[in-house]
Amino acid sequence: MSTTEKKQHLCNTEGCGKPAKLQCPTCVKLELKGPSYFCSQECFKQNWPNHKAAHQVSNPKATYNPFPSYKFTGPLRPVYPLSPYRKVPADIPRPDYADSPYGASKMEQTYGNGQIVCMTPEEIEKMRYVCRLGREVLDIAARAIRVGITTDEIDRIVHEATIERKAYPSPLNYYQFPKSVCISVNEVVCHGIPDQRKLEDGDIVNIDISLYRDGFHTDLNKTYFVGNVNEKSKKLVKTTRECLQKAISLVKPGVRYRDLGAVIESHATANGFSVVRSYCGHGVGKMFHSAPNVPHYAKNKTIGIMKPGHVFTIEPMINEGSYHNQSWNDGWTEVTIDGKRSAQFEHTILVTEDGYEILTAHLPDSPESQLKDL
Amino acid sequence: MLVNNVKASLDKLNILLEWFTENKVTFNEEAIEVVTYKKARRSAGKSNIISLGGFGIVARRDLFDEEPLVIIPKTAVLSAATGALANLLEDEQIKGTLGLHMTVMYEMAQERQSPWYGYLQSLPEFADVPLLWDAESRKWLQGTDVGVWLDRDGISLKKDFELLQSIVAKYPSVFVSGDTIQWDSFTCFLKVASLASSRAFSVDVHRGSSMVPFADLFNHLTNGENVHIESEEMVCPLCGEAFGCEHMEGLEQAEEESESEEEEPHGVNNDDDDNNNDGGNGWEDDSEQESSDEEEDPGEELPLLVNEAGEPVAEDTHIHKKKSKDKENEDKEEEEEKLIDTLDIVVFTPCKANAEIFNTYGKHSSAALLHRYGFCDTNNPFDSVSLDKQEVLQVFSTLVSEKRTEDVGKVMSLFADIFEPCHRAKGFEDEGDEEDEEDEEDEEGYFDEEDVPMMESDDSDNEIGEEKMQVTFSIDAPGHPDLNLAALLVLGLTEESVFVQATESESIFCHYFPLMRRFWAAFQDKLDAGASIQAAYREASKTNKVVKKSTAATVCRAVSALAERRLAQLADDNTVLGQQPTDKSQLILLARWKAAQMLRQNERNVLKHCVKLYRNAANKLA
Repeated sequence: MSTTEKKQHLCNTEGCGKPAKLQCPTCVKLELKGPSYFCSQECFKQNWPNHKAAHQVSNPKATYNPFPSYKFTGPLRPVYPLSPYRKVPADIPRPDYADSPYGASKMEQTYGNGQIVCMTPEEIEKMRYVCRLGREVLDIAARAIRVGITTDEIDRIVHEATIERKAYPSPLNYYQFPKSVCISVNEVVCHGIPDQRKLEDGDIVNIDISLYRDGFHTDLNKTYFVGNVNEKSKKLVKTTRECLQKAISLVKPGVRYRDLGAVIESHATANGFSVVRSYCGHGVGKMFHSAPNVPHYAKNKTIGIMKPGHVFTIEPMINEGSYHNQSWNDGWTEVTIDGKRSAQFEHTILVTEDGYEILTAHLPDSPESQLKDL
Repeated sequence: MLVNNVKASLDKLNILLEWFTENKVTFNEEAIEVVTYKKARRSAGKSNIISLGGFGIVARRDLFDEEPLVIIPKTAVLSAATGALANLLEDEQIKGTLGLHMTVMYEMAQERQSPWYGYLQSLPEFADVPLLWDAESRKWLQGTDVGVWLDRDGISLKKDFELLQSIVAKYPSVFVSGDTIQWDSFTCFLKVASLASSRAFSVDVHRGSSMVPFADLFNHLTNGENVHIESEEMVCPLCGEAFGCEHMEGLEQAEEESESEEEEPHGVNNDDDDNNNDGGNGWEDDSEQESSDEEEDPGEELPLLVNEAGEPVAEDTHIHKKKSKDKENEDKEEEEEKLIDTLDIVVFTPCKANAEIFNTYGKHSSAALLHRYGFCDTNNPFDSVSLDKQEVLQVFSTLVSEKRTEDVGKVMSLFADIFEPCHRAKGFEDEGDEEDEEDEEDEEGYFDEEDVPMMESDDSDNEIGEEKMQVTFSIDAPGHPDLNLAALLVLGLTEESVFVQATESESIFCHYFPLMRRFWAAFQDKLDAGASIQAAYREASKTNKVVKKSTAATVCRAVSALAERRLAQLADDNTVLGQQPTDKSQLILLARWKAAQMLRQNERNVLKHCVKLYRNAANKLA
């Protein structure tokens, strides 16, 4: 060990000033030159809320697992640091939660569970438009999927495609969600936060797009194959897609929302899969999430009878193994409790006078379905 | 025939019990048993409940105070706000009881498709309330309070039914008639309404009046209930969640934050409080940990510092602490997931093995019980016979000038809201203590339905433009005028200058009137305690000196006159009731006849007692 001049470091805690030999491991890993020395774990703990901001770098050389002591249920790990918060140009109208302290939507908080909005023809027109934009953005994201791309990169693509359409990416700051899209890989059931993980050959990845324009939100998602996916995953994704189709085909005025779950559950279980119970479809429009609540499992008692002008999502999450899920320490990422894979498909649907209209349907130039030949 | 009935109700019971299991309605099977009514032993002669395939709850062993017996998740409850129709009711602005009636009808119409089928199939076809009685049976109620209410509620239910018809026409694909429910049948509507009114009670601020499976298996016994039903009433009014929901999310966090800011002084206070010392310390530790968790949880985990070699150097203790804390968190999360809002039925008065366990549907008079539930009890301390406002004014006209009578009438309408009904047996609330009393009830958490024996919509919104609150007076068990009536009589009989002064403004009236009530409350208490008339007057005068003896005498005479007139309206049982029905194939008629007879008997007892007592008082005080 060399004995040449060794720089003395001081503890970074304000007012401490003791000599410090210990360093923040994340700073070391990221090779950050900033204030990384601390005299003790105690001082470090005190500084942590401010210090961790130093890890937000735009072009990280090194990545790390932010929850090393968390008991992960499957092979997937979060790959931090997250990229910095993406900005939305000031001229794009923002939903009410975009700037609220906890990302809570005042509007959503004043609407009751029994209040299902019937949209006027003018509102439906706006809804059609914003749903088409949502579909375009999803298709753009889908085209970007390849082995080796990070989910953060897909977030950037989605974010830019969204603001290009003069729309606000609905997930951003919704109850403080940090990114512009939810990307859920493999055992992630939903609400995956885009990070530095690269998509791998054999992954299944769900991209859940929501955007807000002209006062309305749209919401849709699809699960895609990355490279060569195993048969079981193919069957899972195909079955999930079929579950959504079967549920949509029931939609018409007079139908009870509670009856949609039965057809989804029976198709999923017939194929040996299970239905996630803790997340449901929902009303969408002026609010990101509103009544009705649409469970995907059988024997639910949810409120509501369909009426023309209702707009809501159906978005079954189907699991290979147990239907139970739990969340990572980020407070968002929901994973299957057994670490087995989960797939999801979602559309925004309008109830018409005699049936339904899929507002987020496939466009003529949408990428061809990967399920076509299955 | 009888065997078939028993078998049918056993089948129903089994389906119901299965439904309980599926819907996580649990009961202590070692302590209580659900029985078909034939098996239940009711205290002899106490009541005239008759079985229409109903059930009851019997103790398997002695039950002890505060023992929990049944847990009902609120998800099993059927209410307008949480039923399938909730959005249609919202769109059509249907509030109050009609919403619940429609919701129950709708679920019944779905038959086996309904998630409540197992529960609904267990209900009798209807509760035999007088609104469903034929004209012949109704005659038996002539002159009773029920007789008056029948007309009023009949009209209001007809209105509800007409509204229902317009909605049925608007949504033909939703309201489809079948074997169980015919949407265009008023009788069918009345039958369901009778079930809903006789079983539903208010669960919380979101659900409102609801059908509560299992809770309604308990039969009612006036003043002899064994159980109370507890429920968290303060839930999110928008979605009914008790343990936090998206409607509260931001708010809750903000609250938590401000709470943790206040934690220090809070903890200190706890320490000062001897009673809370042990608990206080425990809590403080927990909350400190929680608040430090809060800082870490939303972001990344706090890593361990590394030395120059890149090795983590933290103390073992820290790792250990961290781990156990995480585990704690996990446990906490799991627990949170399990938090389900429930209604809990607990023992309120101990009960002997093999006895039927009773609930109370509220402190209702015989008339209110019969009207709403289809039965009444003997020896009801909450008995009460209504007096019409006009009758009271007529008695005034025999005592004072025409102008004064008119003025008294004006006072009644002008200060209507001050004349809140107050039956002494139910606990007269002295103005000052009112808030405390309410608080106490909240804590107890049992349901004391309002003493308004109505079946019609209770939403005042509908009543806009119609008459203001109707002032009603009554003679209450054992035989006293209600305090408003007694106070009003004093006021009406007082000299002109005092009358003018007392009724000058609402604030003066609000001050003066309770003084009168307090006087009569004391007077009646003393009489009930066995004091002589003179002694009762002396004691009451100690509360205040506003009531002169001569005035008191006149008031008592007026009261006995009022009771006499009311008694005359009841008429003679022989004329009204006639012979007891003997047709064995018409057991229901016999039950009705007996119920009417008991009601008449109860009302007559109250009135007769009042006549005797107040005639005597008038003489003694004169």
